[in-house]
Amino acid sequence: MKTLRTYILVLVCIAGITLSPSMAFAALDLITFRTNPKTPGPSQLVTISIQSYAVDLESANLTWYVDKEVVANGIGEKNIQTMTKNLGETVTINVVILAANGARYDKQFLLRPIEIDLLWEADTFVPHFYKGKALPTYKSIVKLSAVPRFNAFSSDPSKYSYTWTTNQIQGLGQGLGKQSVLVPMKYSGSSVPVEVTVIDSASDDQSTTTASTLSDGGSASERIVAVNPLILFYEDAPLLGIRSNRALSSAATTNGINFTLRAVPYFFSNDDIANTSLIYTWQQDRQKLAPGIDPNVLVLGKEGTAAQSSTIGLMIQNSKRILQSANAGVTVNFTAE
Amino acid sequence: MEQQSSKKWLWISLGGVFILLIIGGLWWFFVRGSEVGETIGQLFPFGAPTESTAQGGNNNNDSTFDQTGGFETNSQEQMFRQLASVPVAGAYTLIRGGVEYVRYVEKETGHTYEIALKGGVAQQLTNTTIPRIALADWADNGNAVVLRTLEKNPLSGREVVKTHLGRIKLSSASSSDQTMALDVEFLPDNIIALSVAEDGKNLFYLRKTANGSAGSIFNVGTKKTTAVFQSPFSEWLPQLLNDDTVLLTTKPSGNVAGYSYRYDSKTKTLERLVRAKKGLTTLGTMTGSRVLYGENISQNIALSVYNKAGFSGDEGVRIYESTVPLSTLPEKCAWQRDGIRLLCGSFLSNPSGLIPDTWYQGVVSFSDTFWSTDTNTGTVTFLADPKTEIQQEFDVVHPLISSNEDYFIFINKKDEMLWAMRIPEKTAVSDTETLPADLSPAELQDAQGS
Repeated sequence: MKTLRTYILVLVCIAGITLSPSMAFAALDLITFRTNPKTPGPSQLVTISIQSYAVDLESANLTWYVDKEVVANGIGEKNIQTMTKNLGETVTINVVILAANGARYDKQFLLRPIEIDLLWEADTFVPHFYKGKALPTYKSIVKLSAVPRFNAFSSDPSKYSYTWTTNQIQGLGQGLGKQSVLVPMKYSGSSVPVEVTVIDSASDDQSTTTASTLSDGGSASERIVAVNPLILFYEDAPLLGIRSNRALSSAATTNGINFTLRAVPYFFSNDDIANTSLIYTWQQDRQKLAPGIDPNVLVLGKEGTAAQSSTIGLMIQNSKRILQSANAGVTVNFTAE
Repeated sequence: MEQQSSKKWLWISLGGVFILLIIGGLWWFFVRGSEVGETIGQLFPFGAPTESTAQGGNNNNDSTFDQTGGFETNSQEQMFRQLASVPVAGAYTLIRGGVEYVRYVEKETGHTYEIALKGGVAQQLTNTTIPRIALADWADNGNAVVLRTLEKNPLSGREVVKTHLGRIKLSSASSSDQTMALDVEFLPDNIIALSVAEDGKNLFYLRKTANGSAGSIFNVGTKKTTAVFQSPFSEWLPQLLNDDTVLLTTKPSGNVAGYSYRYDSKTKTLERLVRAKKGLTTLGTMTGSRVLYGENISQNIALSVYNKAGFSGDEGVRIYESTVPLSTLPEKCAWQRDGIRLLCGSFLSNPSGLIPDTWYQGVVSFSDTFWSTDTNTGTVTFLADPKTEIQQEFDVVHPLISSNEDYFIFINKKDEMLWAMRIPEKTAVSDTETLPADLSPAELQDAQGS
């Protein structure tokens, strides 16, 4: 009996010796850091919080060190605020946790500023020299590009790993150096949520101890909203060119004998314009006009010397993306000679 | 005898008249002649314009000029003056012989003209005709101009953006009263964005590539092109700064977050300056030490300044952004030489529609008043309301400040005419003015006008 008791005691001791450190490590691994903002930039105020399901942090005494200086100490002290440094510079944060049961946990977090911007551009039409953004429309293609900077402003984006998603879970592509992906849009007025996560997989700091966490990645997200395409009319003067400074909203008056009206199909898909998939229906005083050589141009002429006016209508329909359509009208007045 | 005496007196009288004529002629030649010659020489160093060459001055439309404040009368110089009565693509100011001139390009012909700011009529400089000029940017101290046109390829039917670099070869040896041909060369086709540095030495242009866009710097003097930039993104609006860094801002839409970066072509660094501002548009100083940016906040246009060196805040805290209490877009403003103060055309009420989209589309138009602002103090000073001064509405684009900072020159987007506004004394730069103590080297460079 005594032998059995001794045997059990030895087993318990061996189990204790064997399991205790792994339990402690398991607890340590379940202590995680969170930053707000999630991807802080350089010289930015950041809130760092610590959380755990394995250790009761509410009753634990936490001592926070920022670059080896104590910045906070107290029971349940789970958050601190600090500033990030410049790109490529690291703030070292240490936390010493003394749990109520007397266990001690040391945790380290290396805070590095990261900048990730998510830029996008729609493959839709805007006139040359137009300074505004081409906007996405029904089923148009949008190119997403990530602009990340980790260690320096000169960071090479091709060295990072990218993971692209839409609607939270749908993959758009991933891989080393995959800085851009394409995403199709939905209906006008609906938004497409997109997100990119960028990891600095080549970071030297990856070889940190298990007790360290490193902010070696970040993410950026956007919601891209599709709009309706738009037709605007401009005067196309023989010598001046397209008078894009002034759209002809309702009426245009000319004292000449000819007037060239140019329709600009804002935000129709570029590929469909190149493939002549847009169907133009011009009307003059409700009479359908035969299509001209340039479907965007209508040349109006004055007959006689009396004042005249013509009501012009135009509908553009994309035959490949059927809900990409727009119509517009304008009245052109010729003055009497 | 009497007959001989009368003949003698007749010869004496004729001789006297002849001598008087010679004296009068000499007086006219040496005294009056030099006065007139100097005046014309000052105004038109390359010859006085003939009626056929003077397109932008009073010759064309006297009544318009009288109504809009021409300077030809002896009364006090009026605030606004129309410099050209034809649509203009781009303008530049320079000083020669102590006189301030404006050079500009006529949109219909591509002809270049020059007019003195304080008065006179325009003189045509070049007669090479390039119609349908969309944009014109001046370089090389006003001796080169970049003209951009849209042409249709006759084979493919597709539109091609052509970029002409024209050089104006004016010299003392050239005939002073004749126009000359523009010496034209071409930059690559389909340049999607272009910016000339304020010192006019280099220009930066972007072209689309299969993967996005590529940017190059072209030296106007040496004609050397250097590829400096590549990006998977192509919707950039660039502003080349004097040190060959480029301010790159995403093309704006009032409902889309925009970003602005400073790209250093030497170190290949991309530094973000402004992030996630809807409808973001920017205007940097010539060194980029400060960047004026506009954004659309709930359909209101707000203006702010980013200062890399930071402004002094409370309790010694440095703040890097400061609001400017004007409602306008940065492209309606021009930095003064000190890189601290701005002159702007500003609208008093926000128009309906999504700004800046609808303004770029020509759907909405502004009626601007004129203001100056000091970005150090955030104070603004009202300068003029053209509706009150000359019963005219202006929608300011392509503004610039004359070399002596006496005039604010701009194109009225409503009709593309060129105007100058005399800057009131209270906002003019004073040589004796003390510069703020906390200027960074770049700001100091701006302030010293280099």
